[in-house]
Amino acid sequence: MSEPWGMLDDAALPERYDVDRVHVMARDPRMLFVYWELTERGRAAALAALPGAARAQGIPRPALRLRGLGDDIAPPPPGAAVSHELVLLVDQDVSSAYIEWPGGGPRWVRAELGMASGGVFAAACSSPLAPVPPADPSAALARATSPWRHRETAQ
Amino acid sequence: MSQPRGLLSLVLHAHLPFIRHPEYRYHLEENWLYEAVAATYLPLLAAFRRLARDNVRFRATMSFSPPLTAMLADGLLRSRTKNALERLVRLGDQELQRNAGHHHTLARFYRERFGSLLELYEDIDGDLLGAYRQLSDHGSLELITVGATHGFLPTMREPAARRAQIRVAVDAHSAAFGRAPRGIWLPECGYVPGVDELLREAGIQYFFVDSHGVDNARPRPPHGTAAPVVLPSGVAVFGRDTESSKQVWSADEGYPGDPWYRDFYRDIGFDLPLSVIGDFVHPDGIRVHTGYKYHRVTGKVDLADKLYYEPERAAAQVLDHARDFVDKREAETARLGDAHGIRPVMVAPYDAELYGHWWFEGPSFIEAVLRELDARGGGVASATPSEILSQVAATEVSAISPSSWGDGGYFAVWIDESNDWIYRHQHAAEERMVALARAHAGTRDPLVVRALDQAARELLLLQSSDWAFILKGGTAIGYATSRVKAHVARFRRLCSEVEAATIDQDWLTDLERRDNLFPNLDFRVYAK
Repeated sequence: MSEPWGMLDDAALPERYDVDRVHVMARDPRMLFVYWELTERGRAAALAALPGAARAQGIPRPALRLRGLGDDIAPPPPGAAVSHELVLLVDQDVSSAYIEWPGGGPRWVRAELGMASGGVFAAACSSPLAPVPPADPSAALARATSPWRHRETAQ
Repeated sequence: MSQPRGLLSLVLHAHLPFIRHPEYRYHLEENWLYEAVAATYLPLLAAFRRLARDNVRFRATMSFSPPLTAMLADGLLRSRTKNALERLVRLGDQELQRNAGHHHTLARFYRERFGSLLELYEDIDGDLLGAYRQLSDHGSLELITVGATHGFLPTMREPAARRAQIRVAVDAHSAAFGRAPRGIWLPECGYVPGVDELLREAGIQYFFVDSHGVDNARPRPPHGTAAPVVLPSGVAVFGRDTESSKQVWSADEGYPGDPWYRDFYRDIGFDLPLSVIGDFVHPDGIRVHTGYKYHRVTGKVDLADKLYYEPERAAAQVLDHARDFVDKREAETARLGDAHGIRPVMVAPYDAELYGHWWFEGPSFIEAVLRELDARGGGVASATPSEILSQVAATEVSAISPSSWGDGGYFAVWIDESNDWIYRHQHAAEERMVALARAHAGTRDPLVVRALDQAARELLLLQSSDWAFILKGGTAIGYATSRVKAHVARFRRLCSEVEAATIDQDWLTDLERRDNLFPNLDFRVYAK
């Protein structure tokens, strides 16, 4: 298709945004999609945050940490305990991955991007909390009811 | 009419992505609109008008997506739609001359059909929105909105981006139809927690989810999808009734696969030599569907072995299927009523374009179902969601599950290896839009306002779920890819020019003319 009006129809997408970013989304109850970009600045900051002992135990490498929390559809309160954790070393600064997630596990997940060494992880950035859908009906039955008040909207 | 024992809520979701190419005299994907007008929006309108004329009591709900609304209101596209209808009539004239025998009968059938649709389009002066609004004024049709550009809310990163999709949709609907919508069709029924709060903020009273969104709610609503559920935010949700959906949607059991119904795929646009059909396909000779289809589904046979379509026989099937559909709703009502001790609600949502475009006889089926419900006098009555809510004393409070109505029931259609590359660009754009909106919320510079308004339009268009859907389906991949790239590039250029205070006014004006939807959009919707 040609470009008669010069409206950038054929423009290339940026390869990177030069911003530390990680984002996680549940594809379904058992699979997460994560993408990330780790800048040199982010890498250096995360590296500096690693304790010296951890750095001495191996070669620090870029890593993702996924932390699951909450067991309800409503978001967990601040400070909720982490009930599932996964750390994955990553090879590329800009990439994405599909990651299996326990189907009956935590209902919310947060991804962090940073550096790991000697079993220790230091984050450069983190994602918003993402909901993970439940795969099955709840055993608990709703009992509370609410009167429905029909609200007239502006005509 | 005695008090009905069950309520059936038919919901037709009408949507097409915003495709408008004034720079081309003929554009392949722009035809989607003209095909849908001829196959679905006009035939459905005609069906609803016949029902109203005959004093049939009927209720139905239609969601009009804002991109579709914008295209149906656009002067250029209305003019091109009329041209397309006239072209269909001319093709009919040519076919009548060319054919004899069975083909001639079918050519006459189509020629008369397209002729009457053109007359209807002229009769309403090309104003489909106004015609549907009249039905809404009549009280039979409830019109609701959809996300602003059919953006899939679960894959958005910024809450402000979700809010903008909802707020802009409500404003666009109010501008097009003269009243605020009470309900919304969430694009692809995509729901994640928090969306309901944004709906409440925007004055929306109800929305829809697929059945498992309700079935997997916490705690579990005791009546399942047979009653609306209210969320802690106070917004009501209706779950899709699985049985009524399956009867139409199912590839194996659904009505549209009946051997007597018209086949979609055999079309003279592909069957005839270009020397005959050349004036009615793409000017470069690319073959397209013309709407003249002379064969019926027949069965599981090759296209070449399809038998001729027989309109009268298909019309009889429509009546049989409508009666069957209503029979089954009555049986379902009895079963659900016994099981739950309530007057059950059955919400049957469908893509509007299924009716007419894919299933040629679909609009007649809708008409026949509504006539049948009225004629039977009350076992099951058609009802709009607003009517249902006005009759419900209390609803269960529950948090519904993240879900969609896409394949698999969650988000796998829009988060897939074929399309997941979109999101890093979309999210970067969302973040930048929010930052710029907050930074310039107080600006009085009209050029900055225009540039940021247009940046918001480009972001909204980028978020359209259609691009990811098309990429996953593997159909118009080149077009969907180019649209994503174009909206990212246009957005980034606008933002860079605002940041550098070097706005190219001529380029902005051209872009405003091209991506011209949401004329009243205010970029500050992202600043909240």
